[in-house]
Amino acid sequence: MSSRLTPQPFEWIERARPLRFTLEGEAIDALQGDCISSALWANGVRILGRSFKYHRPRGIFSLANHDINALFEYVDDTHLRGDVTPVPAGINLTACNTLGGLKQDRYRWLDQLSPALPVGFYYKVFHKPRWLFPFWERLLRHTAGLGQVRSSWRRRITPKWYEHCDLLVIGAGPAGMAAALTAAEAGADVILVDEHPHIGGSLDYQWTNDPGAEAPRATLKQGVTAHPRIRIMTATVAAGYYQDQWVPLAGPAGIAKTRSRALIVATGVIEQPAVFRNNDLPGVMLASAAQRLIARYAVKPCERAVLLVANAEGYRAALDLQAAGVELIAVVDLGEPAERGPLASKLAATGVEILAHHGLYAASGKDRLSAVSVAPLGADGSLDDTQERWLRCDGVILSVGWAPAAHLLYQAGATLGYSQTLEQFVPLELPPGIQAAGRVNGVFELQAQIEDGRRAARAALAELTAATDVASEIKTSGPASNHDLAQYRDPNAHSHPWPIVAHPKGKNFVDLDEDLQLEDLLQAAREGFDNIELLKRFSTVGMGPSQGKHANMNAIRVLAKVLGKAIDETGSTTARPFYHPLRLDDLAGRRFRVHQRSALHERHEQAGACFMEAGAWQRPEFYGKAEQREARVREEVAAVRGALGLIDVSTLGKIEVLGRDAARLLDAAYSMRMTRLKAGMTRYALMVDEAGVIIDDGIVGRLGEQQYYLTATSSHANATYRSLTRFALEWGLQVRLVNRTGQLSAMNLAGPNSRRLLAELIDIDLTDDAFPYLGLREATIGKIPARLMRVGFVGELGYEIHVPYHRGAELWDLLMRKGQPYGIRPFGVEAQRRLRMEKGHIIVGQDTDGLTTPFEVGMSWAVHLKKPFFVGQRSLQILKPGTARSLVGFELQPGHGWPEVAECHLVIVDGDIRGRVTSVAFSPARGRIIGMALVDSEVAGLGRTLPIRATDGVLVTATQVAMPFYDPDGLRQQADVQRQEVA
Amino acid sequence: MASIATLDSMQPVSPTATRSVSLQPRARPLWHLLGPGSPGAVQSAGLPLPEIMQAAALTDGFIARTGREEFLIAATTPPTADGLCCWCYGRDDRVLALTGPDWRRVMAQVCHADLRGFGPNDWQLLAAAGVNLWCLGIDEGLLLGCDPSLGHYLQQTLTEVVRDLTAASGQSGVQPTSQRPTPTLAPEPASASASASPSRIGDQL
Repeated sequence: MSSRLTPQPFEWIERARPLRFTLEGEAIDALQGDCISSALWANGVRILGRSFKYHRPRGIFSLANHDINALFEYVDDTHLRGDVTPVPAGINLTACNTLGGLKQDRYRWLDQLSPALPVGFYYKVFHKPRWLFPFWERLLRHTAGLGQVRSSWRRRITPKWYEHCDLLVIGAGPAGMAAALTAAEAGADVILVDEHPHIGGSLDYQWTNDPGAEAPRATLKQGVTAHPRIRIMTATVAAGYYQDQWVPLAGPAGIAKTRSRALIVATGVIEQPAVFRNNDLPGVMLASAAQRLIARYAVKPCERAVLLVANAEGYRAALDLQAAGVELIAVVDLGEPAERGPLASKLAATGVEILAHHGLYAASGKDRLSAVSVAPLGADGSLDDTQERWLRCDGVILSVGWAPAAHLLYQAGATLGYSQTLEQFVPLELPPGIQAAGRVNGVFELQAQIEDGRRAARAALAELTAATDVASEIKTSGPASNHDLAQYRDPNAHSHPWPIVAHPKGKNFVDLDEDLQLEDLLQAAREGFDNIELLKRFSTVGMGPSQGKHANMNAIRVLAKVLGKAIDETGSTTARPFYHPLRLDDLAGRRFRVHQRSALHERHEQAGACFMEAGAWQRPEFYGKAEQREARVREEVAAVRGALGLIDVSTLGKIEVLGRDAARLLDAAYSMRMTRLKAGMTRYALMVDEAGVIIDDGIVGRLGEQQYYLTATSSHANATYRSLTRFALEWGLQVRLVNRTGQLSAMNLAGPNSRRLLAELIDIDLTDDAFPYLGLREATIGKIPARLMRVGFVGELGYEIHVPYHRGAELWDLLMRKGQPYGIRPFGVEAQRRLRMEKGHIIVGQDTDGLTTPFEVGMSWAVHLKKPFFVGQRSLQILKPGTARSLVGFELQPGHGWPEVAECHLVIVDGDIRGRVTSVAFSPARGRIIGMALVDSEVAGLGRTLPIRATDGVLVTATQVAMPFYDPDGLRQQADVQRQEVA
Repeated sequence: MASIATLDSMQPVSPTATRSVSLQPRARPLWHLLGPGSPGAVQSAGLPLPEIMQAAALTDGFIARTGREEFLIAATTPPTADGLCCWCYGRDDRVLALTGPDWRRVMAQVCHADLRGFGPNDWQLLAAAGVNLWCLGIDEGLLLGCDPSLGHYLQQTLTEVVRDLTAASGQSGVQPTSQRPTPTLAPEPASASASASPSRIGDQL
């Protein structure tokens, strides 16, 4: 560990806890608390990654979660950012985006080709010929080295959760801590969040050696840590801002979806680089990166440093480096050192050479920095390269300016403008509930940051107490009247307006993510991409993993200069979530897959049911083992046709419609007349939408003058309830609706023996006169109160029985026990589908689609166009004359030898698609395969053939036949016939 | 390998502890009373009438006002009142008791509602884990009620959350306090006091 310093006052490392990992097989010693990059730097490793396009060597640059060229992976993860990822003990890391390792990356020759790869090269070259593009795409993707996703990774589940607070403060630096403490002391419930593992922010790396920071540091850090109203979340990124003040906080445990009444953004600033030739060599780094290395990880950034400065912070960094034992070769000031304040004087007193009005022209070195050239600035701001002077060094430290980390402010709708005074963007107007404080607000002096944090807290509290629903214990403290955002802003610029130096040989990078040089942006502007958004998309500036955090500001400056416009006129790009990338497993969270079970679920399990999903419901498809499916289904069908079957239909929608206008509501909501329905009777109910498209069907029964009970399809039950509720409200009807779908069990007792069994158990007369077909009755079965409807979906004498949820199993048991002599057998959804198909009954959503009208499926009888009104009536009046499609029945000859026909197979006539199969299965009653198909009316016709293309492309010829396929006169569900049969 | 995730947390999040929580089904007869005459029916039955919506009054069970003219009543027998225009249906809601000092952390994983100020006797309709619920505050926890067909899913989901939080607190070195019972899940029979048809109170509209 050649570069490890003596203990630093606020270091994050634990010296008593050494760790070891390997990088490409080489052992690296580290300390608990190190990040990957700091550990490597401490061990003298300078090449931490390779750049995206040219595979240039890259080292530490920001050490602030923006060093996206230093990405690592291991067998269980990829794209680990070295500058923030804690050292993984015992792991063998490799670098992303290399072929053959960091040092011997075989793609590094690409750097030599850069003159031949100007901006837009890929767009212009690789799209022709078109057929070659997939080849180039694969090659380029492979070359770009985006890391490897392995299917062998262990599965991670990181549940998301919700947090709530009065005030969310983002950024635990001096301004954020002051804001949190002020608000908490006033009674607010505060969450203080910071993306770093420790609170303190710039206090603990930029102000480390400043005696004036000691007292505020102690007060703020101890204050927020001890305050019971402040919850601190560290190592947690505020990833974005969403409507209604929702902010996802992504931390080690996952994402906390946080909603606050007020929000203070104290996210600070992002240090910006200077642009000069070879400004990306390992050893060139931002001043704040050098300070972080020293303060957090006790690592010496370099041995011999040259600093490029344009603000007082640069001199503070120089003093910090000096204190860490770094030899300062020179400080190169883009302006006048006398304007930098006492820190510049203090440094000058140490004898360090300070070059006023100078800049850096170029850096040099093979794989790492070895020297940098300086030159005086001319009156026009350009360097006079005739006076270029080379300085030997292994570190170039850049302190030329800042950009606000204002992404959340932009997302919240804040207005920002460019301050000529500060030479940076600052907030001008903030939306309600949002405040900005500290350096993001253009406030740089430490005490001013603290005061600005307090100001922001008071402003937030004033908004909170002004709200009518605010917690009464929150009190405003101090003056709430002065909410001037600019009150504490610095009067001097901390950023240079043009830290950019042209060089005839290029390699002066504006965007290190995308390897974009100054000439690339100038060329893009020359080609006409002279709008900042166009420039971004053409050149890809700001589109790398750091999303332009180091590139956008300089790119705007370049474009502004080309256009001769001010920065404000040039504009800025959109700052979209997420602020930093989030893990996909964090985004996925816990899976909530709602499923419903009927009260009979355990009975089905006991009977050996094979379950299927029907919407959210779990329903028995059939009873038996999977490999016995066809045989069991046929047995179940046979039981219903020949004796007695029982099916769980609890999934049906069950809705009570009550009140004076119940009949009016149903008359207008369904296509059939409901007002004339007699009490004790039911009627088929078809619901269409405004376009006349079938959306649901079921049964409507009348229990009394103002009391109806209806069923809806399983998948549409809730939607039907919502539609009816909406209609009642829109039409101003006196109606109450109760959705009892889940509260009631329902089962259908069907088969020629159904009435005989039921007669033994029920307390009402079941004769046809007393309980006719389509009748509705309330009765007691055994001791169970029940509602019965005599309907025949499966085409046999049958009773649909509805009972309370908790009595369902009791009734099932009773019917199964007492039904044994009658040959009772439970049947599942598949048997029911076949039974109803034999009867020609449709299933909405299976035999219909999103365009199907009642006329197309032969249900004109269910549409009463003469009614005064119903939803979809006008559309159906228009559509009736020109029905384009028809639902037809078909059958295949027994032993046809063709491949299996399945639902959704297409009907092909003369090479054109003319329809599709909606239902198909073997019919025991017909002894052959039957089905339904929705086809163009032109190809419909009894006796005509129906060519169906099966899965393997073979055309199967079916014959159109009349429906229903079974009992066309409906005699088997009529009581009279049953009496004869029973007799 | 797992150390990467845990090492991120160099400073603990506050509050830190996931202490024990208990989730148990409870039997509770419930009634859904609605209609213009329902407030009168409540008063006629001698029950307290919650004046505002989303509030409940405690009886031997509770009576919650779910709408202007709608109530959810936990009582052995339904309220009856002649001459009043309302309907009453039995409900077989699945009722779960979530108790323990960390019940809010459990709910925070499934529900976006702000339950910081939710305490004993408070009542609210909300959605959790994709399911509509009613909840009643009890000592150090909640009673949660949902459609019985969703009861299995809700119980399973909450049990998973309790299990995961308990495991996570164990990993972070925070042990359940000795006074707290280990999370348990003891099935009990569901409610047995509802009927298929409405228990009509008074005349038709």
